[in-house]
Amino acid sequence: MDNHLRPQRLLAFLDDEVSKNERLAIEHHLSLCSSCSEEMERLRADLPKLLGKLQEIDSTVPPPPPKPWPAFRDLLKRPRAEEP
Amino acid sequence: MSETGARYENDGKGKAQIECGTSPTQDRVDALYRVHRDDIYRFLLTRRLEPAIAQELAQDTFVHLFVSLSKGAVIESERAWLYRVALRTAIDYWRHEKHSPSIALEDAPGFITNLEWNGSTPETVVIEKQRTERVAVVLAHLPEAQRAAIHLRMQGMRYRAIAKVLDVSLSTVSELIAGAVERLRSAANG
Repeated sequence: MDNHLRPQRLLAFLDDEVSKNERLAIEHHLSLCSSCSEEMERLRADLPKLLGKLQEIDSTVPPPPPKPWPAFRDLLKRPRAEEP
Repeated sequence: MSETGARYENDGKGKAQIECGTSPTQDRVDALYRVHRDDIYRFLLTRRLEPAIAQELAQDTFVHLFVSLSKGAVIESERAWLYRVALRTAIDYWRHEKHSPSIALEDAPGFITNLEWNGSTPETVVIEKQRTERVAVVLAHLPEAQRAAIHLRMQGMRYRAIAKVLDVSLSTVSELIAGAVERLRSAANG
């Protein structure tokens, strides 16, 4: 089958970020296209593992804040620049 | 003094100091500050800021939220607003510094070595370590927009909210996330 689904459509489908009509169209395509269907299953298996890996990296790799967080009320006492 | 108990004073040097008593707005932003400050800090690190600068700008972001709410701004999603203002603050910072961010995360102290490795045998520990290293390096080198988009997706943010934060279209968010996932997946499976 030609006109395979683009990666962003597969991902948006898995992320539940497509409209109802688009979901139906993608499901119809997947029922006819083994190549896209296989890629969807690979992505479905990989995505949670990848997001878990990114969470692990995000929670351990970045350096922690160099200073303890001040109380919010103390932030309001500081001179500050104008809003961005 | 505003209805929220906040008062703004200009010192004539482009700086303003806020005087305030405890108010519902302050309590509300204080609660958001406690919950989201670390996430905003880590998001700012993805903009390649030094940790001390990222922490400072994260704090400023919450003060901006307090000021906006005190002035009566209606904010639909405070979380998305915080990310959007943090991003603008980071962009303003780099514009003021007059150069592009180019800090290599590999040079940052603690990069990679902070990671703990899980695995049932020495071989799987090594394999998992190598996998995580590859993903961490690719993540550090993603184009900035892809990095920001995948970071926000990782925080559980919906595409529409990410589009608002990054000020791009929904289809662009979709492309950014798919591009990031493709690269990271290759690294993880490579």
